[in-house]
Amino acid sequence: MVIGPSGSGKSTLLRCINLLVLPDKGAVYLEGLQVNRPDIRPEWVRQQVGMVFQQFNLFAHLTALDNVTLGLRKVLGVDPATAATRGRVLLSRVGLGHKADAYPAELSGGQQQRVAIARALAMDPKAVLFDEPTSALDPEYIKEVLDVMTGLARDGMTMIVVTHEMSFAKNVSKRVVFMDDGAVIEEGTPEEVLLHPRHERAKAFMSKILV
Amino acid sequence: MATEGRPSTRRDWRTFGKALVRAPLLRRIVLVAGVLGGLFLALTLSRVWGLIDTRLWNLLSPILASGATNTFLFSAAIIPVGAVIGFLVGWARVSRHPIVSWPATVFVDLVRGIPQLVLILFAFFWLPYVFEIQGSLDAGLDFAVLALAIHTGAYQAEIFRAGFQSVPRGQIEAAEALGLSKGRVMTSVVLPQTFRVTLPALGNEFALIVKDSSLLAAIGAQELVYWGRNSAQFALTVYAQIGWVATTWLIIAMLYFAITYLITQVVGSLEHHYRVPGLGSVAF
Repeated sequence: MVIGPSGSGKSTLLRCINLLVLPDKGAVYLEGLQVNRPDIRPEWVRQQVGMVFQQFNLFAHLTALDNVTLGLRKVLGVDPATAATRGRVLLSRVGLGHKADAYPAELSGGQQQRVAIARALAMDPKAVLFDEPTSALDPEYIKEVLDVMTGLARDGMTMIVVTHEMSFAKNVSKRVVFMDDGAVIEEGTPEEVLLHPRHERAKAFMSKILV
Repeated sequence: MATEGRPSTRRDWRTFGKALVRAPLLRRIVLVAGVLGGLFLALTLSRVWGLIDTRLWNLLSPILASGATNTFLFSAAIIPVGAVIGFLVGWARVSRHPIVSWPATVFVDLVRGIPQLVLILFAFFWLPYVFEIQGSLDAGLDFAVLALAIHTGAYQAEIFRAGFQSVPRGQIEAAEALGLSKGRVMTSVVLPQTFRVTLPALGNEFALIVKDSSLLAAIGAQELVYWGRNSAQFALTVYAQIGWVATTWLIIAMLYFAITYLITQVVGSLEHHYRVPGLGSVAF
Protein backbone atom coordinates (compact mmCIF):
# COMPACT_ATOMS: atom_id res chain seq x y z
CA MET A 1 0.00 0.00 0.00
CA VAL A 2 1.15 3.48 -0.77
CA ILE A 3 -0.36 6.30 1.26
CA GLY A 4 0.38 9.98 1.61
CA PRO A 5 -1.02 13.45 1.00
CA SER A 6 -2.11 14.74 -2.42
CA GLY A 7 0.73 15.70 -4.71
CA SER A 8 3.23 13.55 -2.85
CA GLY A 9 4.06 11.52 -5.95
CA LYS A 10 2.09 8.33 -5.30
CA SER A 11 0.50 8.18 -8.77
CA THR A 12 3.78 9.14 -10.42
CA LEU A 13 5.45 6.27 -8.57
CA LEU A 14 2.94 3.81 -10.06
CA ARG A 15 3.36 5.30 -13.54
CA CYS A 16 7.12 4.93 -13.21
CA ILE A 17 6.75 1.25 -12.33
CA ASN A 18 4.93 0.37 -15.59
CA LEU A 19 6.94 2.98 -17.50
CA LEU A 20 3.96 5.14 -18.48
CA VAL A 21 6.32 7.77 -17.14
CA LEU A 22 9.97 7.00 -17.79
CA PRO A 23 11.93 7.49 -14.54
CA ASP A 24 14.71 10.06 -14.77
CA LYS A 25 16.81 8.02 -12.38
CA GLY A 26 16.58 4.88 -10.33
CA ALA A 27 15.83 1.33 -11.33
CA VAL A 28 12.59 -0.62 -11.70
CA TYR A 29 12.95 -4.36 -11.13
CA LEU A 30 10.46 -6.96 -12.29
CA GLU A 31 11.23 -10.41 -10.89
CA GLY A 32 14.85 -9.42 -10.46
CA LEU A 33 15.19 -7.97 -13.97
CA GLN A 34 15.83 -4.27 -14.36
CA VAL A 35 13.23 -3.14 -16.90
CA ASN A 36 13.81 0.60 -17.38
CA ARG A 37 16.61 0.04 -19.86
CA PRO A 38 16.82 1.17 -23.47
CA ASP A 39 16.92 -2.44 -24.73
CA ILE A 40 13.57 -3.34 -23.15
CA ARG A 41 10.41 -2.00 -24.77
CA PRO A 42 8.07 -0.21 -22.35
CA GLU A 43 5.15 -1.99 -24.09
CA TRP A 44 6.57 -5.35 -23.00
CA VAL A 45 6.86 -4.18 -19.40
CA ARG A 46 3.28 -2.86 -19.41
CA GLN A 47 2.03 -6.28 -20.57
CA GLN A 48 3.57 -7.79 -17.42
CA VAL A 49 2.15 -5.19 -15.04
CA GLY A 50 -1.58 -4.47 -14.97
CA MET A 51 -2.99 -1.11 -13.95
CA VAL A 52 -6.33 0.03 -12.53
CA PHE A 53 -7.14 3.73 -12.54
CA GLN A 54 -9.06 6.09 -10.30
CA GLN A 55 -11.41 7.06 -13.16
CA PHE A 56 -11.76 3.42 -14.42
CA ASN A 57 -10.84 4.54 -17.96
CA LEU A 58 -12.87 1.83 -19.66
CA PHE A 59 -12.99 2.07 -23.44
CA ALA A 60 -16.37 3.72 -23.99
CA HIS A 61 -17.02 2.14 -27.40
CA LEU A 62 -16.49 -1.44 -26.25
CA THR A 63 -18.66 -3.78 -24.20
CA ALA A 64 -17.42 -5.01 -20.84
CA LEU A 65 -16.27 -8.24 -22.47
CA ASP A 66 -14.43 -6.46 -25.29
CA ASN A 67 -12.77 -4.16 -22.76
CA VAL A 68 -11.43 -7.21 -20.95
CA THR A 69 -10.28 -9.00 -24.10
CA LEU A 70 -8.78 -6.07 -26.04
CA GLY A 71 -5.28 -6.67 -24.70
CA LEU A 72 -5.53 -10.41 -25.38
CA ARG A 73 -6.62 -9.84 -28.95
CA LYS A 74 -4.48 -6.86 -29.93
CA VAL A 75 -1.33 -7.39 -27.88
CA LEU A 76 -1.06 -11.15 -27.44
CA GLY A 77 -2.83 -12.08 -30.68
CA VAL A 78 -5.23 -14.52 -29.01
CA ASP A 79 -8.07 -15.50 -31.35
CA PRO A 80 -11.41 -13.81 -30.53
CA ALA A 81 -13.24 -16.99 -29.46
CA THR A 82 -10.54 -18.04 -26.98
CA ALA A 83 -10.22 -14.45 -25.75
CA ALA A 84 -13.99 -14.26 -25.20
CA THR A 85 -13.98 -17.48 -23.18
CA ARG A 86 -11.19 -16.18 -20.97
CA GLY A 87 -12.88 -12.79 -20.73
CA ARG A 88 -16.11 -14.35 -19.47
CA VAL A 89 -14.23 -16.32 -16.82
CA LEU A 90 -12.57 -13.11 -15.62
CA LEU A 91 -15.83 -11.17 -15.58
CA SER A 92 -17.41 -13.96 -13.51
CA ARG A 93 -14.46 -13.76 -11.15
CA VAL A 94 -15.27 -10.08 -10.45
CA GLY A 95 -18.98 -10.94 -10.21
CA LEU A 96 -20.01 -9.46 -13.58
CA GLY A 97 -20.53 -12.52 -15.74
CA HIS A 98 -24.06 -11.29 -16.51
CA LYS A 99 -22.83 -7.85 -17.71
CA ALA A 100 -20.53 -9.04 -20.49
CA ASP A 101 -22.51 -7.26 -23.21
CA ALA A 102 -23.12 -3.99 -21.34
CA TYR A 103 -21.34 -0.82 -22.37
CA PRO A 104 -19.45 1.22 -19.74
CA ALA A 105 -22.14 3.91 -19.72
CA GLU A 106 -24.66 1.25 -18.68
CA LEU A 107 -22.65 0.15 -15.64
CA SER A 108 -22.39 1.69 -12.17
CA GLY A 109 -19.06 3.06 -11.00
CA GLY A 110 -18.37 -0.03 -8.92
CA GLN A 111 -19.19 -2.32 -11.83
CA GLN A 112 -16.97 -0.29 -14.16
CA GLN A 113 -14.07 -0.53 -11.75
CA ARG A 114 -14.54 -4.30 -11.45
CA VAL A 115 -14.48 -4.59 -15.25
CA ALA A 116 -11.27 -2.53 -15.19
CA ILE A 117 -9.78 -5.00 -12.70
CA ALA A 118 -10.78 -7.92 -14.96
CA ARG A 119 -9.19 -6.05 -17.89
CA ALA A 120 -5.92 -5.73 -15.98
CA LEU A 121 -6.02 -9.42 -14.98
CA ALA A 122 -6.65 -10.58 -18.55
CA MET A 123 -3.01 -10.04 -19.48
CA ASP A 124 -2.06 -12.50 -16.71
CA PRO A 125 0.16 -9.87 -15.09
CA LYS A 126 2.95 -10.47 -12.61
CA ALA A 127 1.69 -7.52 -10.59
CA VAL A 128 -1.24 -5.11 -10.65
CA LEU A 129 -1.00 -1.40 -9.83
CA PHE A 130 -4.07 0.32 -8.35
CA ASP A 131 -4.19 4.11 -8.48
CA GLU A 132 -6.80 5.16 -5.89
CA PRO A 133 -9.28 2.58 -7.21
CA THR A 134 -12.14 3.62 -4.92
CA SER A 135 -11.66 7.40 -4.74
CA ALA A 136 -14.10 8.17 -7.55
CA LEU A 137 -16.79 5.77 -6.34
CA ASP A 138 -20.02 6.49 -4.56
CA PRO A 139 -19.78 5.11 -1.01
CA GLU A 140 -22.19 2.24 -1.69
CA TYR A 141 -19.91 0.81 -4.41
CA ILE A 142 -16.62 0.95 -2.52
CA LYS A 143 -17.06 -2.35 -0.73
CA GLU A 144 -17.69 -4.43 -3.86
CA VAL A 145 -14.43 -3.21 -5.37
CA LEU A 146 -12.43 -3.69 -2.17
CA ASP A 147 -13.88 -7.22 -1.83
CA VAL A 148 -12.58 -8.12 -5.29
CA MET A 149 -9.18 -6.68 -4.42
CA THR A 150 -9.11 -8.53 -1.11
CA GLY A 151 -9.87 -11.76 -2.96
CA LEU A 152 -7.01 -11.08 -5.35
CA ALA A 153 -4.64 -10.49 -2.45
CA ARG A 154 -5.75 -13.75 -0.84
CA ASP A 155 -5.01 -15.55 -4.11
CA GLY A 156 -1.44 -14.29 -3.87
CA MET A 157 -1.50 -11.57 -6.54
CA THR A 158 1.26 -9.00 -6.15
CA MET A 159 -0.46 -5.64 -5.82
CA ILE A 160 0.72 -2.10 -5.30
CA VAL A 161 -2.20 0.02 -4.15
CA VAL A 162 -2.37 3.77 -3.75
CA THR A 163 -5.30 4.30 -1.45
CA HIS A 164 -6.97 6.44 1.17
CA GLU A 165 -8.94 3.44 2.49
CA MET A 166 -7.04 3.07 5.71
CA SER A 167 -8.95 0.12 7.16
CA PHE A 168 -8.41 -1.72 3.87
CA ALA A 169 -4.70 -0.90 4.03
CA LYS A 170 -4.54 -2.08 7.61
CA ASN A 171 -6.32 -5.38 7.00
CA VAL A 172 -5.03 -6.48 3.62
CA SER A 173 -1.55 -5.08 3.07
CA LYS A 174 1.71 -6.71 3.94
CA ARG A 175 3.74 -3.55 3.64
CA VAL A 176 2.78 0.12 3.82
CA VAL A 177 4.76 2.98 2.36
CA PHE A 178 4.17 6.59 3.33
CA MET A 179 5.19 9.17 0.75
CA ASP A 180 5.50 12.91 0.98
CA ASP A 181 6.98 15.44 -1.41
CA GLY A 182 8.15 12.84 -3.92
CA ALA A 183 10.00 10.63 -1.44
CA VAL A 184 9.29 7.56 0.67
CA ILE A 185 9.34 8.77 4.26
CA GLU A 186 8.29 5.65 6.10
CA GLU A 187 7.77 2.04 5.30
CA GLY A 188 6.98 -1.07 7.27
CA THR A 189 4.10 -3.26 8.37
CA PRO A 190 0.64 -1.67 8.48
CA GLU A 191 0.88 -1.77 12.26
CA GLU A 192 4.12 0.24 12.28
CA VAL A 193 3.30 2.84 9.65
CA LEU A 194 -0.41 3.42 10.27
CA LEU A 195 -0.56 3.14 14.05
CA HIS A 196 2.91 4.04 15.24
CA PRO A 197 4.52 6.34 12.70
CA ARG A 198 7.91 7.67 13.72
CA HIS A 199 8.36 10.55 11.30
CA GLU A 200 6.75 13.90 12.11
CA ARG A 201 5.05 14.32 8.73
CA ALA A 202 3.70 10.79 8.87
CA LYS A 203 2.39 11.40 12.39
CA ALA A 204 0.70 14.62 11.27
CA PHE A 205 -0.94 12.83 8.31
CA MET A 206 -2.16 9.87 10.37
CA SER A 207 -3.58 12.14 13.06
CA LYS A 208 -5.78 13.89 10.47
CA ILE A 209 -7.26 10.75 8.98
CA LEU A 210 -9.26 7.94 10.48
CA VAL A 211 -7.24 4.80 10.85
CA MET B 1 -29.66 5.30 -19.49
CA ALA B 2 -30.27 1.61 -19.72
CA THR B 3 -33.11 1.93 -22.18
CA GLU B 4 -31.45 4.48 -24.44
CA GLY B 5 -30.93 3.24 -27.96
CA ARG B 6 -33.23 0.27 -27.51
CA PRO B 7 -36.19 -0.03 -29.89
CA SER B 8 -39.36 1.52 -28.59
CA THR B 9 -42.60 -0.37 -28.71
CA ARG B 10 -44.66 2.79 -29.06
CA ARG B 11 -46.03 3.26 -32.55
CA ASP B 12 -47.50 6.69 -33.09
CA TRP B 13 -46.52 9.83 -34.95
CA ARG B 14 -43.78 10.55 -32.45
CA THR B 15 -42.01 7.27 -33.18
CA PHE B 16 -42.47 7.59 -36.94
CA GLY B 17 -39.28 9.63 -37.27
CA LYS B 18 -37.42 6.98 -35.31
CA ALA B 19 -38.87 4.19 -37.38
CA LEU B 20 -37.88 6.01 -40.56
CA VAL B 21 -34.33 6.42 -39.31
CA ARG B 22 -34.15 2.84 -38.14
CA ALA B 23 -35.38 1.45 -41.44
CA PRO B 24 -32.62 -0.44 -43.25
CA LEU B 25 -30.45 1.70 -45.49
CA LEU B 26 -31.63 -0.19 -48.55
CA ARG B 27 -35.26 0.64 -47.88
CA ARG B 28 -34.46 4.33 -47.55
CA ILE B 29 -32.44 4.40 -50.75
CA VAL B 30 -35.34 2.68 -52.46
CA LEU B 31 -37.57 5.43 -51.02
CA VAL B 32 -35.43 8.20 -52.50
CA ALA B 33 -35.05 6.35 -55.78
CA GLY B 34 -38.84 5.95 -55.78
CA VAL B 35 -39.39 9.68 -55.30
CA LEU B 36 -36.92 10.52 -58.04
CA GLY B 37 -38.32 7.81 -60.31
CA GLY B 38 -41.81 9.12 -59.64
CA LEU B 39 -40.68 12.61 -60.63
CA PHE B 40 -39.22 11.30 -63.87
CA LEU B 41 -42.26 9.15 -64.55
CA ALA B 42 -44.67 12.02 -63.88
CA LEU B 43 -42.76 14.29 -66.22
CA THR B 44 -42.40 11.63 -68.89
CA LEU B 45 -46.10 10.71 -68.75
CA SER B 46 -47.05 14.39 -68.86
CA ARG B 47 -44.89 14.62 -71.92
CA VAL B 48 -46.36 11.49 -73.52
CA TRP B 49 -49.93 12.55 -72.77
CA GLY B 50 -49.21 16.02 -74.03
CA LEU B 51 -49.82 17.57 -70.59
CA ILE B 52 -46.47 19.27 -70.73
CA ASP B 53 -45.35 21.68 -73.38
CA THR B 54 -42.62 20.32 -75.63
CA ARG B 55 -40.61 23.49 -75.10
CA LEU B 56 -40.81 23.20 -71.30
CA TRP B 57 -39.85 19.54 -71.57
CA ASN B 58 -36.81 20.52 -73.59
CA LEU B 59 -35.86 23.03 -70.88
CA LEU B 60 -36.27 20.48 -68.08
CA SER B 61 -34.60 17.43 -69.63
CA PRO B 62 -30.96 18.65 -69.33
CA ILE B 63 -31.64 19.54 -65.68
CA LEU B 64 -32.75 16.00 -64.98
CA ALA B 65 -30.16 14.26 -67.11
CA SER B 66 -26.98 16.31 -67.02
CA GLY B 67 -27.61 18.61 -64.05
CA ALA B 68 -28.65 16.03 -61.43
CA THR B 69 -25.96 13.59 -62.54
CA ASN B 70 -23.18 16.17 -62.42
CA THR B 71 -24.24 17.62 -59.08
CA PHE B 72 -24.22 14.09 -57.66
CA LEU B 73 -20.83 13.33 -59.21
CA PHE B 74 -19.27 16.59 -57.97
CA SER B 75 -20.57 15.89 -54.47
CA ALA B 76 -19.37 12.29 -54.64
CA ALA B 77 -15.90 13.55 -55.61
CA ILE B 78 -15.69 16.39 -53.07
CA ILE B 79 -16.93 14.40 -50.05
CA PRO B 80 -14.22 11.69 -49.91
CA VAL B 81 -11.36 14.03 -50.93
CA GLY B 82 -12.52 16.63 -48.40
CA ALA B 83 -12.89 13.99 -45.69
CA VAL B 84 -9.34 12.73 -46.27
CA ILE B 85 -7.99 16.31 -46.17
CA GLY B 86 -10.05 17.06 -43.06
CA PHE B 87 -8.95 13.88 -41.29
CA LEU B 88 -5.25 14.46 -41.97
CA VAL B 89 -5.32 18.16 -41.11
CA GLY B 90 -7.44 17.53 -38.00
CA TRP B 91 -4.98 14.86 -36.92
CA ALA B 92 -2.08 17.22 -37.54
CA ARG B 93 -3.77 19.88 -35.43
CA VAL B 94 -3.74 17.70 -32.32
CA SER B 95 -0.07 16.80 -32.78
CA ARG B 96 2.26 17.69 -29.94
CA HIS B 97 4.91 18.77 -32.44
CA PRO B 98 4.45 22.42 -33.45
CA ILE B 99 6.11 21.70 -36.78
CA VAL B 100 3.12 19.48 -37.61
CA SER B 101 0.30 21.32 -35.83
CA TRP B 102 1.28 24.86 -36.81
CA PRO B 103 0.94 24.50 -40.62
CA ALA B 104 -2.38 22.72 -40.06
CA THR B 105 -3.65 25.62 -37.95
CA VAL B 106 -2.52 28.15 -40.55
CA PHE B 107 -4.26 26.11 -43.27
CA VAL B 108 -7.56 26.00 -41.38
CA ASP B 109 -7.50 29.71 -40.47
CA LEU B 110 -6.58 30.75 -43.99
CA VAL B 111 -9.10 28.60 -45.87
CA ARG B 112 -11.95 29.39 -43.47
CA GLY B 113 -11.37 33.07 -44.13
CA ILE B 114 -11.94 32.89 -47.88
CA PRO B 115 -15.36 32.47 -49.54
CA GLN B 116 -15.81 29.25 -51.51
CA LEU B 117 -16.61 31.23 -54.65
CA VAL B 118 -13.34 33.14 -54.43
CA LEU B 119 -11.45 29.86 -53.94
CA ILE B 120 -13.21 28.37 -56.96
CA LEU B 121 -12.43 31.33 -59.22
CA PHE B 122 -8.86 31.46 -57.98
CA ALA B 123 -8.36 27.73 -58.61
CA PHE B 124 -10.09 27.86 -61.99
CA PHE B 125 -8.18 30.80 -63.42
CA TRP B 126 -4.83 30.66 -61.70
CA LEU B 127 -3.90 27.04 -60.97
CA PRO B 128 -3.96 25.86 -64.63
CA TYR B 129 -1.62 28.77 -65.34
CA VAL B 130 0.72 27.74 -62.50
CA PHE B 131 0.80 24.12 -63.63
CA GLU B 132 1.08 25.21 -67.29
CA ILE B 133 -1.99 23.40 -68.50
CA GLN B 134 -3.64 26.47 -69.94
CA GLY B 135 -6.32 26.24 -72.56
CA SER B 136 -7.93 23.24 -70.87
CA LEU B 137 -11.22 24.11 -69.20
CA ASP B 138 -11.41 20.58 -67.78
CA ALA B 139 -8.19 21.10 -65.82
CA GLY B 140 -9.61 24.35 -64.43
CA LEU B 141 -12.76 22.51 -63.40
CA ASP B 142 -10.75 19.80 -61.65
CA PHE B 143 -8.91 22.46 -59.71
CA ALA B 144 -12.18 24.16 -58.81
CA VAL B 145 -13.57 20.87 -57.49
CA LEU B 146 -10.35 20.45 -55.52
CA ALA B 147 -10.81 23.99 -54.15
CA LEU B 148 -14.22 22.99 -52.75
CA ALA B 149 -12.69 19.81 -51.29
CA ILE B 150 -10.00 21.93 -49.62
CA HIS B 151 -12.62 24.31 -48.29
CA THR B 152 -14.73 21.59 -46.71
CA GLY B 153 -11.49 19.91 -45.61
CA ALA B 154 -10.68 22.93 -43.44
CA TYR B 155 -14.09 22.73 -41.78
CA GLN B 156 -13.89 18.96 -41.40
CA ALA B 157 -10.43 19.33 -39.86
CA GLU B 158 -12.11 21.13 -36.97
CA ILE B 159 -14.73 18.37 -36.70
CA PHE B 160 -12.03 15.69 -36.61
CA ARG B 161 -9.94 17.70 -34.15
CA ALA B 162 -12.92 17.85 -31.79
CA GLY B 163 -13.38 14.11 -32.34
CA PHE B 164 -9.77 13.30 -31.47
CA GLN B 165 -9.89 15.53 -28.43
CA SER B 166 -13.14 13.96 -27.22
CA VAL B 167 -11.33 10.71 -26.39
CA PRO B 168 -10.34 11.05 -22.72
CA ARG B 169 -6.61 11.02 -22.04
CA GLY B 170 -7.21 8.34 -19.38
CA GLN B 171 -8.44 5.82 -21.97
CA ILE B 172 -5.28 6.31 -24.01
CA GLU B 173 -3.23 5.78 -20.86
CA ALA B 174 -5.26 2.65 -20.01
CA ALA B 175 -4.63 1.25 -23.49
CA GLU B 176 -0.91 1.97 -23.16
CA ALA B 177 -0.93 0.31 -19.74
CA LEU B 178 -2.21 -2.89 -21.40
CA GLY B 179 0.88 -2.86 -23.58
CA LEU B 180 -0.75 -1.63 -26.79
CA SER B 181 1.64 0.10 -29.18
CA LYS B 182 1.00 3.73 -30.19
CA GLY B 183 -0.45 2.59 -33.50
CA ARG B 184 -2.76 0.06 -31.84
CA VAL B 185 -3.95 2.66 -29.35
CA MET B 186 -4.89 4.81 -32.33
CA THR B 187 -6.70 2.11 -34.33
CA SER B 188 -8.35 0.25 -31.44
CA VAL B 189 -9.23 3.03 -29.00
CA VAL B 190 -9.00 6.54 -30.50
CA LEU B 191 -10.30 6.12 -34.06
CA PRO B 192 -13.42 4.04 -33.29
CA GLN B 193 -14.54 6.75 -30.87
CA THR B 194 -13.52 9.65 -33.11
CA PHE B 195 -15.57 8.05 -35.88
CA ARG B 196 -18.71 7.83 -33.75
CA VAL B 197 -18.39 11.28 -32.24
CA THR B 198 -17.75 13.03 -35.56
CA LEU B 199 -20.45 11.32 -37.66
CA PRO B 200 -23.33 13.73 -36.91
CA ALA B 201 -21.21 16.79 -37.67
CA LEU B 202 -19.78 15.14 -40.78
CA GLY B 203 -23.28 14.38 -42.07
CA ASN B 204 -24.08 18.05 -41.66
CA GLU B 205 -20.96 19.04 -43.58
CA PHE B 206 -21.69 16.55 -46.37
CA ALA B 207 -25.14 18.09 -46.78
CA LEU B 208 -23.50 21.50 -47.17
CA ILE B 209 -21.13 20.14 -49.82
CA VAL B 210 -24.02 19.10 -52.07
CA LYS B 211 -25.37 22.62 -52.05
CA ASP B 212 -21.97 24.34 -52.22
CA SER B 213 -21.30 22.46 -55.45
CA SER B 214 -23.85 24.84 -57.00
CA LEU B 215 -21.13 27.50 -56.92
CA LEU B 216 -19.36 25.56 -59.66
CA ALA B 217 -21.99 27.02 -62.00
CA ALA B 218 -19.97 30.23 -61.82
CA ILE B 219 -17.23 28.68 -63.93
CA GLY B 220 -19.60 26.92 -66.29
CA ALA B 221 -19.73 23.48 -64.72
CA GLN B 222 -22.92 21.89 -66.01
CA GLU B 223 -24.58 21.06 -62.72
CA LEU B 224 -28.10 21.82 -61.50
CA VAL B 225 -27.87 25.60 -61.06
CA TYR B 226 -26.07 26.01 -64.39
CA TRP B 227 -28.92 24.30 -66.24
CA GLY B 228 -31.46 26.04 -64.05
CA ARG B 229 -30.20 29.50 -65.00
CA ASN B 230 -29.93 28.41 -68.61
CA SER B 231 -33.51 27.13 -68.74
CA ALA B 232 -34.95 30.00 -66.72
CA GLN B 233 -33.35 32.53 -69.02
CA PHE B 234 -34.69 30.70 -72.06
CA ALA B 235 -38.17 30.50 -70.57
CA LEU B 236 -38.18 34.25 -69.97
CA THR B 237 -36.39 35.70 -72.96
CA VAL B 238 -37.37 33.27 -75.71
CA TYR B 239 -40.76 31.92 -74.60
CA ALA B 240 -41.84 34.69 -72.19
CA GLN B 241 -43.22 32.03 -69.78
CA ILE B 242 -42.61 33.25 -66.26
CA GLY B 243 -44.44 30.23 -64.80
CA TRP B 244 -41.86 27.89 -66.33
CA VAL B 245 -39.15 29.66 -64.36
CA ALA B 246 -40.89 28.66 -61.14
CA THR B 247 -41.33 25.07 -62.40
CA THR B 248 -37.65 24.89 -63.26
CA TRP B 249 -36.43 26.01 -59.83
CA LEU B 250 -39.01 23.88 -58.03
CA ILE B 251 -37.69 20.78 -59.76
CA ILE B 252 -34.11 21.80 -59.02
CA ALA B 253 -34.98 22.28 -55.33
CA MET B 254 -36.51 18.78 -55.28
CA LEU B 255 -33.41 17.30 -56.87
CA TYR B 256 -31.06 19.00 -54.40
CA PHE B 257 -33.23 17.74 -51.58
CA ALA B 258 -33.17 14.19 -52.93
CA ILE B 259 -29.38 14.11 -53.31
CA THR B 260 -28.79 15.68 -49.88
CA TYR B 261 -31.31 13.39 -48.25
CA LEU B 262 -29.71 10.33 -49.82
CA ILE B 263 -26.28 11.27 -48.45
CA THR B 264 -27.42 12.31 -44.97
CA GLN B 265 -29.43 9.09 -44.69
CA VAL B 266 -26.36 7.02 -45.48
CA VAL B 267 -24.52 8.88 -42.69
CA GLY B 268 -27.56 8.52 -40.41
CA SER B 269 -27.58 4.76 -41.00
CA LEU B 270 -23.90 4.54 -40.11
CA GLU B 271 -24.59 6.53 -36.97
CA HIS B 272 -27.44 4.24 -36.05
CA HIS B 273 -25.56 1.09 -36.85
CA TYR B 274 -22.50 2.01 -34.78
CA ARG B 275 -24.31 3.71 -31.93
CA VAL B 276 -23.04 2.95 -28.45
CA PRO B 277 -24.76 4.03 -25.23
CA GLY B 278 -23.02 7.03 -23.74
CA LEU B 279 -20.94 7.86 -26.81
CA GLY B 280 -21.94 10.67 -29.13
CA SER B 281 -25.57 11.14 -30.00
CA VAL B 282 -28.17 8.50 -30.64
CA ALA B 283 -29.87 9.30 -33.95
CA PHE B 284 -33.15 11.08 -33.14
